[in-house]
Amino acid sequence: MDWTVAVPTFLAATVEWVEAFTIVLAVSLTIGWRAAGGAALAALLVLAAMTVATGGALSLGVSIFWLQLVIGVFLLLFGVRWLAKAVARHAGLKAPHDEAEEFEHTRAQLTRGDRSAGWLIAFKGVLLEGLEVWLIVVALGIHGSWASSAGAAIAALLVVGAAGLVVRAPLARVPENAIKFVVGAMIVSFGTFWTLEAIGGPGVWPGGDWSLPGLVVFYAGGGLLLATIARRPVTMRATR
Amino acid sequence: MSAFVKTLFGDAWNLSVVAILVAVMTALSFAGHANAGAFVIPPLTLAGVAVLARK
Repeated sequence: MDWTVAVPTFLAATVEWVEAFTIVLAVSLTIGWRAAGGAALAALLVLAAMTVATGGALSLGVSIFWLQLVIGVFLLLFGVRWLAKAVARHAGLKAPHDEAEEFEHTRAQLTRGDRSAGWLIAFKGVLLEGLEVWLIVVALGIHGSWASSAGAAIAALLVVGAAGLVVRAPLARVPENAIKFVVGAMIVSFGTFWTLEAIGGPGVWPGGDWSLPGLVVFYAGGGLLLATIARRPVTMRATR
Repeated sequence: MSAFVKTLFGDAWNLSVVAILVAVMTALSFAGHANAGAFVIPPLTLAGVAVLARK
């Protein structure tokens, strides 16, 4: 088991599966568990097929330069977005993601009880949240091990699914923002590391792979500092 | 389709930040200063995160 791959994949997948579960739960109250679960399963099968197809295509001998560059850029696209969202929420610039609100929003969309619309909402919700998981599984799987990244995503799905079935309510207690902060810092680190190495060549990072933990600390610490700075003017105004 | 594209690539701001980062990495590499990227890119990335956080 490659823990440097499994841990970020598990954490990122947990956040996404919680969001997907909230949508499926809301839909299930309108069209029933069987139909909503079927829609979720159909989306998960599409994602599994995408993962297998991508893995097969990438093992056919694509140049390591292009592989590293494309994956690095995707992780950057993804990581900066996650880290920025976490910073904005930590600083109070953006409201924290509220699973209960998401649940009510999805329920409101289904007030007419349209079965096919409900099925589509559950399918699309799981597919779109799962796309982010797919990207991380593929990106980290190529450089680490497929078993670790795919296994961690499946483990997260089982944990969230089991917790959801027990609670039967939106999983609002998952510390989504804290997880997003840590995973955002990790993904930006992988993205920065691989993109620069692809463009600049091997040996561009002092200390080689040991630069990665340093980058994670830099981005996590820097993100916290940014959140503190962004929050300060509001605090000062509030104390006046 | 737009939700699919947005999930994968983010919005125009997100794309712009990453495009600038890749452009700087490429410029440094062509100028023969790729090693300087290890010290330039992380702070630049954090600056991009700060811009996106305020959007």
